[in-house]
Amino acid sequence: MKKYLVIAYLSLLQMFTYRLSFILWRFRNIFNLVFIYYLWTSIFTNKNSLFSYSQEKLMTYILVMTLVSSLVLSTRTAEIGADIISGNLINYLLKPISFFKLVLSKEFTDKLLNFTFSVIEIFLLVIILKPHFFIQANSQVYFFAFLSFLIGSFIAFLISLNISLIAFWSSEIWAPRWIYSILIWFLAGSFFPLDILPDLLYKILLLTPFPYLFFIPTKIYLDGFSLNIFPPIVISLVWCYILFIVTKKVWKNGIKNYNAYGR
Amino acid sequence: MIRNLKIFWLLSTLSAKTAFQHRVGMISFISGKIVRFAFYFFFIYFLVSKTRFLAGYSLLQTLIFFLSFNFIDALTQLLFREVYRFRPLIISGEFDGVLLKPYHPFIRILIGGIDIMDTITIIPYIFVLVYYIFQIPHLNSANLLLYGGFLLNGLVIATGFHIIILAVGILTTEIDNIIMIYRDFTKMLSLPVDIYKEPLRSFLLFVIPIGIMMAVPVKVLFGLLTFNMFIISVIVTFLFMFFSLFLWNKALKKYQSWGS
Repeated sequence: MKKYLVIAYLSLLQMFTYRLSFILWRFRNIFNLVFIYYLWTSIFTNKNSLFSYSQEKLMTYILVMTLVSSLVLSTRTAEIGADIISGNLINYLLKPISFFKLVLSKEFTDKLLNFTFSVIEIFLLVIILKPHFFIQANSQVYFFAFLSFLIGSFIAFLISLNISLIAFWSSEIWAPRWIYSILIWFLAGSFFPLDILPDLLYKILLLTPFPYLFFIPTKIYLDGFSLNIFPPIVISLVWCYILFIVTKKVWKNGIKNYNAYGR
Repeated sequence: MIRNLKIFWLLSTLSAKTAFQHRVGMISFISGKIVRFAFYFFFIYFLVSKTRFLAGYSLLQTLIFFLSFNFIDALTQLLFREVYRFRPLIISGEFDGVLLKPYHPFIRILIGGIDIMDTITIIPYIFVLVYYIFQIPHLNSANLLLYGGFLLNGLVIATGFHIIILAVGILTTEIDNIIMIYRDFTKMLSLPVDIYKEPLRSFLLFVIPIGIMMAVPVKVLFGLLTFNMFIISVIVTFLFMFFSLFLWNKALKKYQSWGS
């Protein structure tokens, strides 16, 4: 366990090596939040509610979704694809450590760092913009929202890992990752709550893994037990299981044929 | 001039050939761009058709803001894609080789290779934009002409931005995030600038003249631009271009060829 803590600590130091790059990257997250915030503020001008959302709930959706998505989507798995292509993966496999525990250590650090900075950024924006904010009073809801968030994080981790594992067969790994980011932008609810969409489209989306990344955790926080919590949690667990099995198979097949060219 | 055009053509041909080496990636990127456009278009259409207005603009007007943004954004990416590849030249010291060549370095590092993918995706953007522009009731030909003029003005500002990115790249070797911040700023103007409150709105219009680049052409088209704003836009563009070239010259003097 100690060696993985050291890896997590080193990973943290590594992230702070390029400080300007880090600051600029955080700056970008604020832009996205400001853009979405103003878009919805403008839409709610002279309106109290729209698409069954009050202004208070929609602004809370944006802020909570931003926080949850910063945790769910922060990942270091993209590096694995580059390591496979460069042959660097073999360096990890030969070491007396578990490769996946190493990946999880880095993942944990990345999420911790993102969470910390997102909280600070959102706090500052709340002070500056003074949005209406809804606080969930039922403490039991927080447990289910957190559970849903953990499942969403695991789904995002497995999808991202699978995209990186494409590198076992093709060097074209950036295009699938870019398409994945586009799909997340629109289908996971980072732009708008998905339930404002036409009913049929919303129901179809609920069959895909995207809403479970951060729309459902945020929705659970907002609606509490007035939302039927169990069907989305069950579907997200099914997705976890499917993606886990797929990842195991892809990794097994990929590593069997891996030649680590150039090493 | 003709010699420079020949070099530009040669570099663009080579860039296109390089892109065609990665056919799967190229098809994926083009598909991704079109899917992103379609999603965004659908979202705006869906949203504003329900609310009827966005910051006082109708659905048609909001769509023209979005489509004009897409056109300018794709055009600048098409022309200035080489800026995205500038960092390795600085890190490796290969930029020395560019400076030694008997032509202006901007031909290589600024416009040295058009992006073939954006050349393909800009075509449907233009068709959709033209279609919606001709849906404007009582379209004024003078406004249409001014719209074209201000699109060119926007291209000048975009050139200035990319020169600044190159200069900052020389000074700090930080390019990727700066470009993405520029893209994030421009994305904020994919919808009417009027959705932002003061002082952010003025900041987007005058301090970093993204608003003049993206929003002013469309306002001209709708006949919403005052004469004062017209003059201010031209002056800001001139000052911004002057500043970008000033910064470029400063950066060149600081360049130390670390990597070579």
